[in-house]
Amino acid sequence: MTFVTWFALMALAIGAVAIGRVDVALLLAGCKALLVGLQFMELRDAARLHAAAFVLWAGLVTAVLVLLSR
Amino acid sequence: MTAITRRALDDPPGGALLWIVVALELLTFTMVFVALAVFRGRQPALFAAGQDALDARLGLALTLVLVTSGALAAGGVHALRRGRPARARRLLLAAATTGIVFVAVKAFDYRAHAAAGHVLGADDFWDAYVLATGFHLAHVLVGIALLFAAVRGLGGAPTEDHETTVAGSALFWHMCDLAWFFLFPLFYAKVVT
Repeated sequence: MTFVTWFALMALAIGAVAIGRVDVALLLAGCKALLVGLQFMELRDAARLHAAAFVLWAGLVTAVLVLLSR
Repeated sequence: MTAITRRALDDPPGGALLWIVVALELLTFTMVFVALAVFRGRQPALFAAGQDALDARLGLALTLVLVTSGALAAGGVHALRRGRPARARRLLLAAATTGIVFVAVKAFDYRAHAAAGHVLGADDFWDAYVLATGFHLAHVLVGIALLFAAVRGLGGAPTEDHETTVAGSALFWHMCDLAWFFLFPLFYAKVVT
């Protein structure tokens, strides 16, 4: 699972640069944050409230930054 | 079918104390991200001019290095949980070493920019760049120190605290990943003027 997550993160990072648009890159950054949080920071096994708080943070930050960058 | 066992709210992976630290750091970084996004919107010409001196390939390389280091740290935590402390030690050492590569590349980046006069006080873009990436770099240095401390801890006799120490060090390290994920597009994705 660690390798799959690593591969997905690498692909998302390269994709963000290839596309070159800041709004898309920020959306992909949000996806990367969720992957790292749920897999590497092990929030998939954490209390639901804890995991939900992280997902909410990642979603809010991504949404606010995308809106500000448009 | 395997039952999913979730941890209690007061027993998060990596320990409650480290999670409080990580949450506070992420909130601080969030303020930095929002300030940068507002700055990009208010001074697009200045931001675009500064970005011309940045190399997106270098930014991508830094991202790939950090992602790889994070995966190595996560692998170290998993290895320890599976009762393989020697493998955990090797993976955490590799994560810390990859972190040093990030610091070395960033030092090269700062040196090149300084030679071109892109330093604190040059203009608002370079103030933002040096302060935001410098703040992140300071966290990377702390993260490397924590990873080395975890490696050192694994060298001795096994204790009950090993898992929390290793998972906590990896947790802080992943926080550095998260911060970079958002800093990277804010600085390197071109402003459309």
